[in-house]
Amino acid sequence: MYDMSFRYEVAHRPGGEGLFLCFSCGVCTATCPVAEVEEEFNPRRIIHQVLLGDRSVLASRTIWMCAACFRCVAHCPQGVEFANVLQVLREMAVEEGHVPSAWKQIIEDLDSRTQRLRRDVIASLWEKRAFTFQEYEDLWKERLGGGRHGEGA
Amino acid sequence: MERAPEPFGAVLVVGGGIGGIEVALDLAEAGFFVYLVEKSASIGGLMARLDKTFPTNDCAMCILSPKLVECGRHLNIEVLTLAEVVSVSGEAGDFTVTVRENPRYVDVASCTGCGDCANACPVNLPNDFEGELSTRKAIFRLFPQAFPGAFQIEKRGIPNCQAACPLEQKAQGYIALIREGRFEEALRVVRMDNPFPGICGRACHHPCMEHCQRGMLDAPLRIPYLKRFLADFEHSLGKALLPEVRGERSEKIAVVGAGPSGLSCAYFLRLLGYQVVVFEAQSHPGGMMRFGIPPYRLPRDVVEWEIRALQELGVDIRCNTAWGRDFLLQDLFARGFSAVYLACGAWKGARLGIEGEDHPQVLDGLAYLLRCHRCEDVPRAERIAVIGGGNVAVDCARTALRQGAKEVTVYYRRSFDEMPARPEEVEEAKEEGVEFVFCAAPKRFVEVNGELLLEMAGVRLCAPDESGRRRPEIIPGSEFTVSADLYIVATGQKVVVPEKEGLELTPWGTVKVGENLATSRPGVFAGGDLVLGPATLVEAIAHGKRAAYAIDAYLRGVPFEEQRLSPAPLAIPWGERKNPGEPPRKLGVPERVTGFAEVVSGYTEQEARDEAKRCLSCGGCAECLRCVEACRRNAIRHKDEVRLRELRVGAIIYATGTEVFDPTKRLRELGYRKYPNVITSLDFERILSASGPTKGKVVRPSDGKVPRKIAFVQCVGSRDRERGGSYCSSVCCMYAIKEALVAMEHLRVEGEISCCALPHEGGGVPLEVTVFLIDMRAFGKDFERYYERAKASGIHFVRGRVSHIAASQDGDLVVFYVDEGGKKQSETFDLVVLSVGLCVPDEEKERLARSGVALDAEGFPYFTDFGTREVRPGIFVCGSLAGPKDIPGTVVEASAVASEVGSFLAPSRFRLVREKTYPPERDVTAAPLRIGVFVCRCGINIAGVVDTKAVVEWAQNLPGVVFAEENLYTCSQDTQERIKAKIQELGLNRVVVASCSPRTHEPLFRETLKEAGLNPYLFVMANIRDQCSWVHQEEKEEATEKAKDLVAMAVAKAALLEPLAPIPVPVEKGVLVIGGGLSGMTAALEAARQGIPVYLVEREKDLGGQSPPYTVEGVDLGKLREKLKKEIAENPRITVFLESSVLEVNGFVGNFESVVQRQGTLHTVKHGGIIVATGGRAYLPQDGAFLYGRDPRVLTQRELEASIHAGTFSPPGRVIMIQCVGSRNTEHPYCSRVCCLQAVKNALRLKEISPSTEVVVLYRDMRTYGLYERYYTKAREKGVLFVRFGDEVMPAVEEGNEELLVRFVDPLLGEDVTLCADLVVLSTGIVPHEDAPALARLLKVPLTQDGFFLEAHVKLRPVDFATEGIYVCGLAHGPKLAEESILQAKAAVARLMTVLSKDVLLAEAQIASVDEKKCVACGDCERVCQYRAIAVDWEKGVARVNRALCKGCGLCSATCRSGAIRVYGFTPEAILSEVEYLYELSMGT
Repeated sequence: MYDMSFRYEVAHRPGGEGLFLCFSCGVCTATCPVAEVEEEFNPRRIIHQVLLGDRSVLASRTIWMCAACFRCVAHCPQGVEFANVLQVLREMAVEEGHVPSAWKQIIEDLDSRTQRLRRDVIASLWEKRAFTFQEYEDLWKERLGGGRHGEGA
Repeated sequence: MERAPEPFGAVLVVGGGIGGIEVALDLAEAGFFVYLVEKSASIGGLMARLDKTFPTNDCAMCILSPKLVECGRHLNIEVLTLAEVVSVSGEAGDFTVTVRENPRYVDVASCTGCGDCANACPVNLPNDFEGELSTRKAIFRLFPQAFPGAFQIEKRGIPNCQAACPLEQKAQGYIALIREGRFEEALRVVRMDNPFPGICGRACHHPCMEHCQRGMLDAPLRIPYLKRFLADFEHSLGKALLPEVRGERSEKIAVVGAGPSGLSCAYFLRLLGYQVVVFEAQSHPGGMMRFGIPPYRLPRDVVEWEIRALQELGVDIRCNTAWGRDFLLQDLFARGFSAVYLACGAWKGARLGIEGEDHPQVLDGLAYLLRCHRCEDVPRAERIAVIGGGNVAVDCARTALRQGAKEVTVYYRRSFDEMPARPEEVEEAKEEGVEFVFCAAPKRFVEVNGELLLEMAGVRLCAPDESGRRRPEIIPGSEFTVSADLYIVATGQKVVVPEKEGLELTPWGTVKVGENLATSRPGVFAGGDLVLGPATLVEAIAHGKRAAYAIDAYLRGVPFEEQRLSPAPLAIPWGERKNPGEPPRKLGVPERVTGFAEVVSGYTEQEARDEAKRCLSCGGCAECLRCVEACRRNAIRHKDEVRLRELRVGAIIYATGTEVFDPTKRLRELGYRKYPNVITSLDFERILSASGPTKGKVVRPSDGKVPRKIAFVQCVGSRDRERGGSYCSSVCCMYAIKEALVAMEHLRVEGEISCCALPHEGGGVPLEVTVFLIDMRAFGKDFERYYERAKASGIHFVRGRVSHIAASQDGDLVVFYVDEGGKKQSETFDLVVLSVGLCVPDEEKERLARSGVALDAEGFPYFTDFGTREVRPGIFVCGSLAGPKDIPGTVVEASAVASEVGSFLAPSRFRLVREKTYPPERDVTAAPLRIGVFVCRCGINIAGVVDTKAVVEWAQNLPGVVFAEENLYTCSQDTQERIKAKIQELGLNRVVVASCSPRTHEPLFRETLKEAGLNPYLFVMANIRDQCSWVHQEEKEEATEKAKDLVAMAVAKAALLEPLAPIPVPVEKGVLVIGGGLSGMTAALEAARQGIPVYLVEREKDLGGQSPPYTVEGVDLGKLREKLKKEIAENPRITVFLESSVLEVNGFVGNFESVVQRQGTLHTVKHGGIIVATGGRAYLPQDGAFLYGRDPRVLTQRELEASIHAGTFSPPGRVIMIQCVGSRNTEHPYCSRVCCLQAVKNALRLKEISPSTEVVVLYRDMRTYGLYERYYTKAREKGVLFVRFGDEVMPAVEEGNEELLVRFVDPLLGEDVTLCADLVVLSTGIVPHEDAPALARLLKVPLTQDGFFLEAHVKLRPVDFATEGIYVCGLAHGPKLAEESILQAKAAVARLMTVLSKDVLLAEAQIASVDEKKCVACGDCERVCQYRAIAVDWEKGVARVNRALCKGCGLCSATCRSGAIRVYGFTPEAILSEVEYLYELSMGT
């Protein structure tokens, strides 16, 4: 059930180097803004699964949730770069056929669009001063092609 | 390296914390002279700041302070405080060390620590000792029990206001006094530097205010208005508060000119005692102050008042006497003046040098003002043009308005920015209607049709000239014409010097002077405008002051020296809130221009105090000299300087310790210093302390609210490779538990918290505590029980590191963390305590590196070998500087180093120690009573409340008293001489001192008696300070009566005192070491090296014991054991008894006689001390638990390493190690300390042999404490997998098909996990040796409930037993690593040497004695005696006291039902006579 070679595979890829140093303090999860809204997302647990050799993590939804803010990396007392470890896991998930390769692209694109949307919302707030919530939602629809996404709005 | 044949018998110990104190005491007691260098003002270190100590909850200060006194008073320890090592040269055995002693500004020998100075000091500074949670004075003592007890002054530099002032006026000092409402004193501080508070408070251009540091925060302090407030206050008193003239002098000095400079000089000369005559050309004194500055700025009565004060001081002012007209310099000398100060100003108006300037409608500005102020006829004019941009120009303009002018315009050549006039003056002028035209230069005056016109031209400003102002250049074609009725030219003033006086002048026509203001003519000095050209008021006054001191130096024939000190660095305290304050009120414009009333009103008392509160006290001490005035012992030394000392020593020991990590440096997200309710654990120690800022009340800093929920955040600065130390700080887990438990206790209690008493449970509030941690490291002796107690008390332990802390409303704090189940949480707390780690300060790293000590990246030293604390030949390190550790660890290491140094310096033992000789003792047994009573005033500490004179009179009439007197300080050195003289002169045979506490001062007075040839036990102290004047400050009469009673009781007791003598006990050199393992062998060799014969007893066939084959550092312990065995065999001082045991032990410290049985034969050995080193045993799982003993694939760690070491081990594919087998369970409820590191060690070794072997360690808490954390990190790096199995259920080992299966619950996954293994290794604990109980009975020493030997005191006497002369080390004391055992063995030897280095021991004289007639041999005394000093002799049927062991505690005496035991010095008769006195008193007889 546990594949001890898994952690070596992860650690030997660029980004996975510091993995072994983890001593499960949990600061990565404590600081994570995604974990704030998504109970399932627990960086400490993901690292632990990798260390134990639980390959099923590659097939899980959780490894796609990171928003790459790198707060976990900034807080880690042992220099484990969780955000980068997750990149490795995503690559491996694609390589091992757990998800279609396009998914990775889609999620990366989503992250970049979300950022652009932020930029546009902030710009609109500054330009118009009297930017209403309705206008904000319209912008959402315009940029993301209709429909409300997630719970943020 | 070969060591010098005869080393120098002195030792330098750097660092006066508990480690430094211990090593100093051990060495000094063992015959070496010790210099103890401490960088702060008191020894005590970090421990002095702690509240309680874990796990016994002793009050840290209560157990530390006797050590401070013992160390401080030791004849062979010299304590150098505020000192640091500058350089080290030479080599082992003979070092030369340069030490810098920084000034304390208080003379240690004179200061009695009474605190009068601090009461007088007006400066409040954040108290860093208290974590800045309270304030203290600039003159202060770190803590009341500090040693030395002398105060110190904090000087950060000259306050910026003072540094900016030409007079160096001590503004911060008088501001602080204003804040306290001490206006008279404040005024005296002003007058120390300035004769004109009222004048300067109004007319000075106040550079002080420009440089005020508060300006960086909000607005500078309005210093001039504060000074003016003081002057107004003086006015309201109706008398001038003048300093005293210090001793009249006969020399007469002439001052020419009664302006600010001349009068200032006269004032300071007069204060120095000179006879001063001031000659003034005008009709009235005052100069520019009277005739220049208009009265709406400076009212005339203020000027007159302050000049009259000078005259009251004795300054003779003669008006209408002009230099050059009425006298010349030679006349003055002819009339007997010894020196002359010329200060007659610059009164001649500068000319514009343009056409038509001499017209009668054109007036010189100064002349205009002079005429106005003399109320002479002033030309009336409606329209006035003023030319110029200085203060005189603005004064002329505003004066003209008040003279009735309708239109006043000021024309200035440059722009507003260049105007020399004070901006507020210009502002006020504008308010009043004065017009300003800038960039306009006058060209010529022309008369057109009988009207005088001024032609002017526009100007543009070019590059600055040498005056720094931009040079004006006329713009061609910009001419315009001005028409006015009167033109006032105020563009500067010139100096007029009478010709033929032969004074050398400068090119500008001013008088040329040197630095000391001396002119070219001997005895003639000059200053003010005469030298400077037109300058400011304060510069003129400053010149006068400087001239006074220069003239004084000239007349006394000494060089004139003046030094200006550098301003204090910028220091705006954290949390200082913005408060720009309020300026004083002004008159409205209509009221102003109708007369000469003063425009600016002064501050009221409250306004002045509010403004003064804004001062940041940036210089620390303000040199207001209140302390000098308050100190009756003249102990204050404001001019103290740095002193360099060279010390010659044979060895150097660094015990500088660590400091706590500063979370503001790199962990900003935790909010320390950002949110007031985030504090460090050290801050919290102070809050918990009964002597701390809240007197032990648990409240939070922001609002004083009692917290209901407290969070502890662990590993702040520890185990953090990114932003702190990579290591574990060892102490934080335990202190957090301790602080939590103590806080809970405090909150349960109602009322006062005392430092040591057990609190009563009251109706207080329950406290909720959560500790956020990674691993709980309760690895020390009895720590695990403490942890269990904490859990039972309801403290929550959450395994998750806190990511950040946010403040919510009302100062509450939100802590973000993840629980072990993986849920992200945010929880609100009232208070957050950051458990800060320990680190080596950067400056300490540099200092150590300079001494040639090699350090690792984090500042911890490398040692020359395993088991030593030597870092370089002759240089040693101990305590937390050698790696973070707790107090007992520090004390053990300190003693270990004392032993290492002792062996190294053994040839020089007793070479450099001081010994004191005393005169022969007078026989007083038959003599009639002659009691002397000395009543201490303690400055005002006692005399301020108790009428000491009345006490003395009362004492004189007490029976037996032949002499009584009062002393300012009875403890001072001169009083000691006086007491000695009185003893001899009057034949006194009993002495009573009524003063403070015998706890601190009894040894001093006893010493004095000895020096006077009187038995030191003929002395009694009455505590009329701590127990009388301090507690009855409000009831003076009753306090005096109580003091009389206390003295009478002491006299009654003194009458019954008998001389006592300490009993000399010869010392048998020799030590019995029981146990021949690593500790026993080390102890034996170490003692032998110090010259002591050793009897080493081992029950097995061979020496060596059970230490593991290798250590985590890679040291081969097998080789080490062989080496020690060889050395022991070769050492003639060591006798080894193998296959032997100790059958009998008799005697006491210094004189033991024991029987050793070797293979049936009995041997009797005599020895002075005993070291117990019987070791422990490895636990082995019973009944096939974990399949141990049933399956060959299940081993213990010890079996694994033995097989690895033997080379017989073939690495399997997967190894699983299981921690805590036989530890931390119900059977063995303690942590075995070594197993975590043992697993890490073996895992690393396995990875080394076979990198492909998978190693999994299943653990509860990884307890790789201190620097060993680095090995844990290394193991993870190498791929060893560490998985926690939770707190409750141990993993289970089962047999699988081919492999072993290990099942456990993974708390992070919340799931059962089963792992396969080829080999299971059990990390088994350590249990006590089975022989321990029998040996404990033999030696009459106690065991802990776990069965290890129990030391005398867990914190400060970790290798001693309560029974003197018996010591413990190694596993017999508790589980520990090999190196720790070796160091503890050395420590035991150091403690032994404090006894065995002496030939004779002096036992306590105030001991118990048994009246055999009364004794019924009930044995109660024997049961209560902690020192095993009393025992029943069953043959004779009486109890007998072992005089060498008795400490005189009195427990037996109090217990004895038949009254057969008495303690010398506290006999029933003496105590009863005290009580009887009180009884008679209450009966009214």
